Amino acid sequence: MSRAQVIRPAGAGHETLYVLLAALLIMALAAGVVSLRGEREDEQPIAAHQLDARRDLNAAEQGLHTDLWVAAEEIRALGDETGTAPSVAALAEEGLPPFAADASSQSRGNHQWTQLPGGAYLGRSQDPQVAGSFVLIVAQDSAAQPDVWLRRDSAAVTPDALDPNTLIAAGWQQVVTHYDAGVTRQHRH
Amino acid sequence: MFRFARALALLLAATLPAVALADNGKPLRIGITLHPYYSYVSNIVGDKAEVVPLIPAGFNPHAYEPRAEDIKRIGSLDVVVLNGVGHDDFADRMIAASEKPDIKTIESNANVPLLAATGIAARGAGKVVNPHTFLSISATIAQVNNIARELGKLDPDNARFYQQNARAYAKRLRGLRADALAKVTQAPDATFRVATIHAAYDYLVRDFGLEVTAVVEPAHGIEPSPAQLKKTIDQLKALDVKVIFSEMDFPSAYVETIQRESGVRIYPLTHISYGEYTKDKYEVEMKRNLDTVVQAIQENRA
Repeated sequence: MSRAQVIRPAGAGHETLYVLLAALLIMALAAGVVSLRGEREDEQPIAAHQLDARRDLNAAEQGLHTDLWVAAEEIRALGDETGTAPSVAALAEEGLPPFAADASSQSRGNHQWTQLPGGAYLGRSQDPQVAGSFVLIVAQDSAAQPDVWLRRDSAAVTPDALDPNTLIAAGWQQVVTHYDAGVTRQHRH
Repeated sequence: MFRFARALALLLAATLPAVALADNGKPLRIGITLHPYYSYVSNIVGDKAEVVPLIPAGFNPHAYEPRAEDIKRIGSLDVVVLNGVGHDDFADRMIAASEKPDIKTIESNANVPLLAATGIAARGAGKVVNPHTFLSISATIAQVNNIARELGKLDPDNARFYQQNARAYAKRLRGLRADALAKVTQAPDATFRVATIHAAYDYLVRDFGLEVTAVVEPAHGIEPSPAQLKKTIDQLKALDVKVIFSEMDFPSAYVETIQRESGVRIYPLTHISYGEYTKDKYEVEMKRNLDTVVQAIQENRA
């Protein structure tokens, strides 16, 4: 006749508990360190009426946007020299993209540029499938960034006024660009 | 006593500007990281400042590891001009290890509309950007304007001179682009698809109103494996790519394989990051790049 003898393990299941506790402790420690030391990634949110130049524009529009961005500086310099905002014809004569007609303007929607009052230029796309129409507002202050607006429907009529509210109401969207140099860098200066 | 104080004040007033001048009178020593930036800064500053490459001629910036003597040189500089969006990440480490870890830096691309990186480098939903802004005339002019403005802040006496030089340089560069585009009498249509070996030329072909359809290199400066190569060749055929732009300065044997297997014509472009640093290097090499793109468009128009 045998008698069953229950032999409890020496640790009596405590090891499992200790391992679990240790794991929890490590987790809590790691979570603490991450929450205290971790850096937030700056996602720059954009408003509903804005478009991100890097993600929301197609290649033709990105090219036009960059050219307008560069042209704004030259337009301001020319304006300082002559005292008045240069005409579209003068800009084309300077060979300043996107105002100059060339192979690149042809393949980007063949925009027809007109000057608006208040130091702005309207480029009406002849092919909205390729690229939308643009408005460039050149700020007088040399430190200010150029203001570029885009409208993709074919009825891009001359805006009544150049203030943001009027443009938004008329269906224009502001193209914004942001600089995040730190993405591939180990630390920033 | 009052008279003495006034005399002292006068003396101080007379000597202080002299000290400031002595400090400013020394021409700036400007560090640069890549060849195009040597040309940009040299053209902006003329003979009013000295331009010093951080890495010696002959090193490939894609595979450069900082050396002690290069790090030491940073101690003698006043400011460093950076690409800052991924092509000279080594500069941060060098500056941190140098005698001047807090040296002023100029972010050339701070005001430049950037493109997202393509291929495998495009991790993080468009957060990694394509760093080759120097291969586009438009993005170059934006950078030249930025650099001139920032240098003018450091050296106010020459700020106007820098701005004028930057404008004259921008005008010459615009001329290069206009000359190239004038040769393309008829713009290529949407069927003109372009691929590149190195993910560098998105900005350049965008100046022509074109878009890069495929990139062969799996990552920046990394050769594809045989399996990746086969996939790329199949992809090039499926997309009906008309032209591939390869790398002039870093030739690879596998490029010939691609040409043989896919039948697509290959045109070499330069990355402008090889050889001696010279003032006119950017204009000379960029003209060659623009001519090559024009030739590719003319010879492959459908």
